[in-house]
Amino acid sequence: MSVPGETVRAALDHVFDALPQVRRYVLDDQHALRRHMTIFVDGRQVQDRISLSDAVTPESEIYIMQALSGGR
Amino acid sequence: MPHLLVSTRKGLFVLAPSDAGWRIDKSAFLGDRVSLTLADERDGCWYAALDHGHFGIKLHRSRDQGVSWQEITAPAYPEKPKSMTDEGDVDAAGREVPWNVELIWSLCAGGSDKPGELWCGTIPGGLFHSTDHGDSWTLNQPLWLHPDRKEWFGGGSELPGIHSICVDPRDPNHVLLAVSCGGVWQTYDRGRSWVLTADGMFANYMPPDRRDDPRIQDPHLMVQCRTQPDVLWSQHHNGVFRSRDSGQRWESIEVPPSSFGFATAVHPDDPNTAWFVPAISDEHRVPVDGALVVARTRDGGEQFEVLSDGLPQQHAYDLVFRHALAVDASGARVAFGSTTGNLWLSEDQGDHWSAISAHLPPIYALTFVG
Repeated sequence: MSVPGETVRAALDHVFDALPQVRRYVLDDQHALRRHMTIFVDGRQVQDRISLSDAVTPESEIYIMQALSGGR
Repeated sequence: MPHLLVSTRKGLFVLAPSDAGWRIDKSAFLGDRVSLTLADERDGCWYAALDHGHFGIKLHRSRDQGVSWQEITAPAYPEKPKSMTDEGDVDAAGREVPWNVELIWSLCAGGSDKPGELWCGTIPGGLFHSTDHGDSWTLNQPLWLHPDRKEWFGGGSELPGIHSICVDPRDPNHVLLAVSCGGVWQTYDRGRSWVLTADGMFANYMPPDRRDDPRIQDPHLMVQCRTQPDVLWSQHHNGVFRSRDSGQRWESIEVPPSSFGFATAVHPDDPNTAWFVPAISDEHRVPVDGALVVARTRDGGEQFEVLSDGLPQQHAYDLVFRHALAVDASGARVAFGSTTGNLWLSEDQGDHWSAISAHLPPIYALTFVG
């Protein structure tokens, strides 16, 4: 999926607008990244897990994945 | 047809009686952690609470007895107010309390006067209320913002939680909760105000001046007699307690072979009949002498029978979690499941037990339907 946005938060908001049910799988009650989820931007893990303010460019690739810490 | 819903670490298993005894009829959410279920007698809806390791807690509803499930809105905290973000919502240990639902730890049908009403208790201690069959949820602010809530602390989990909800069959405005570790709370106005009623409970493991503090008691589970709702039983971290006056006063009860355990069940029509599955102690959470037994009283706790017919009496290391002992609506059929995936069922109040399965995932909760 291609979305606009200058930060991870802005880009994800577009994703969640298109797929509302995904929001609660990725973000917690306070809209921070869930403890056992992780996001990579162009191969680097995001640093701001609360506000998701890490910058993205129009060419950035964002990977949302399950952190290995959350497995049971 | 009756069913038994078995919530486990790796899915939900629906059991039904057959010519060859109780068998697994179907499963759902295979591989996912199912913390508990509710079967709402008022409208036949089933609810399943899930705890995904990665994706958080979820709630599903079935209107066709588990043939199909629909994901519905899960309870969630509102945005933390800025005043609390600045000052911090800290507990008595100085730790920040998260405004995030970590686990659905109790789910209870509300009053018969409001068919869609549900109550939901969570870790870290928020109580949520729905009036539309779980399509939407509201945090109960009077309890969450009660000053005593900051005295609660975790028991069995890092954070405190509400694991027991009892709605008074005579008056749905009267709701009782038990909290680990936060005592017993009651509302008489459907959640607008709350009172703490854990007098008589004690915790010998606490510093002496906090031993009797009702705010820090750790009832592992509280159950209410359906036809005599003033009678409550609680398996507590320090032993077993019973109240005959709707929780105003709790009395300590000695249970053989040990008063330590997690689960309890009370006969729906006989407040003097209750069951427990004892373990050695807090430090040793396994059956006494490796012999798995159920303790049953029929006289309100004066005497107990130690029931073992059909249960392993050597090298059994099963622990029964708080929601994993259940009695059906008739009071005759009792079942329990263990951390090692064993499930037993009795058709005669525990006199004789049959092993239903020895190969289930760790069992969290049992719910009888019908």
